[in-house]
Amino acid sequence: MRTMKCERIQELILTDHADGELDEKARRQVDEHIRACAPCAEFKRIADERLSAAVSCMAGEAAPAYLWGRIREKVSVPTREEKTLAGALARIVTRIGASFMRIPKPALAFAAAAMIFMVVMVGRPGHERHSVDAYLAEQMSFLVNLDADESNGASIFDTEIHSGVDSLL
Amino acid sequence: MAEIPSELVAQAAAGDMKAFEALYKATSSFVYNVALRITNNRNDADEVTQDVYVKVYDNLRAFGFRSSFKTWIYRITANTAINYCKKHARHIKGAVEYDPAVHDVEAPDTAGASLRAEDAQAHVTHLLEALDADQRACLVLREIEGLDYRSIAYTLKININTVRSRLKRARERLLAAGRKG
Repeated sequence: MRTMKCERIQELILTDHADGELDEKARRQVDEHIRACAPCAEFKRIADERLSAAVSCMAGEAAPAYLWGRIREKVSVPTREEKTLAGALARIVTRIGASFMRIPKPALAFAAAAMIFMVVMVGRPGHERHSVDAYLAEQMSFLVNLDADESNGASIFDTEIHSGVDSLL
Repeated sequence: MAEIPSELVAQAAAGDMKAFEALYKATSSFVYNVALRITNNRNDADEVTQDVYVKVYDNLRAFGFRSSFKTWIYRITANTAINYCKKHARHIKGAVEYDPAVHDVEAPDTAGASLRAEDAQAHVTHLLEALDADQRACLVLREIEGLDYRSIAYTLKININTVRSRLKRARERLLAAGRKG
């Protein structure tokens, strides 16, 4: 006789029990019930037989060969978005992103490491940095002394040659 | 369906048609098969498959690898097929009357394997007519792709109990249709 418990067990036979969704303890309880209950055992036998027969033919249908041609035709037509400048830019950005994806990961890591090394070296105080500083200090000193020379009555065009000419006059 | 390499997806997203063709070849059996079982009609499956790949092509750039490509295409395929059925309401008629004339004809012993395969396909098509599109979608994702309840729920954006109840009704109807056959 089919009881409330049998109804529940048969629901599980069609769902969680069949699909492996029960935990170990629940699965064992359902199995024990099926072993002890002839109507549920018969229900399971029929369900397994008919359902496996029905679904065994469901897989394995390959797409017809002509479909790719149709799809290719549809996607090859540029969309309105692609015709616009924004669409073209978006495409370029995507291409750049994709080209990064194609670079092998070790090469990408090496390039990143090299870039970090260069940044660190340029930022570090070194002899190049000192020569730049010395040049700037020299230029500053020259500019400051321009005013000082004028205030002393000297012309910026005063040179030793001029002085020499003056002495001849 | 095997996982699809992200480099291939990125190349296809950049407009590389060879990469897109490779994507198609890797996924089309699954897409067509699911479309066929949900729509239960070959012409409709053709339409749905084309729609799926046009959507995939148009949205590849926005895909962004937030989920696996496989999960993404599961979702597009199942939802495109369900929406197609709902739009073309002829498919949604619940349990259809079983026609014994179709299934009482046994294949002759002399018939070849292809004839038996055709009979098997016709039988499956007839059984699936007893289900609605939502039930078929759950059933094919479970039976063809072996997705667990959580993955089916995620793919179809429904909760797990809905997956469970749709599978239960689908299988009850298949059993009833099988009994009549």
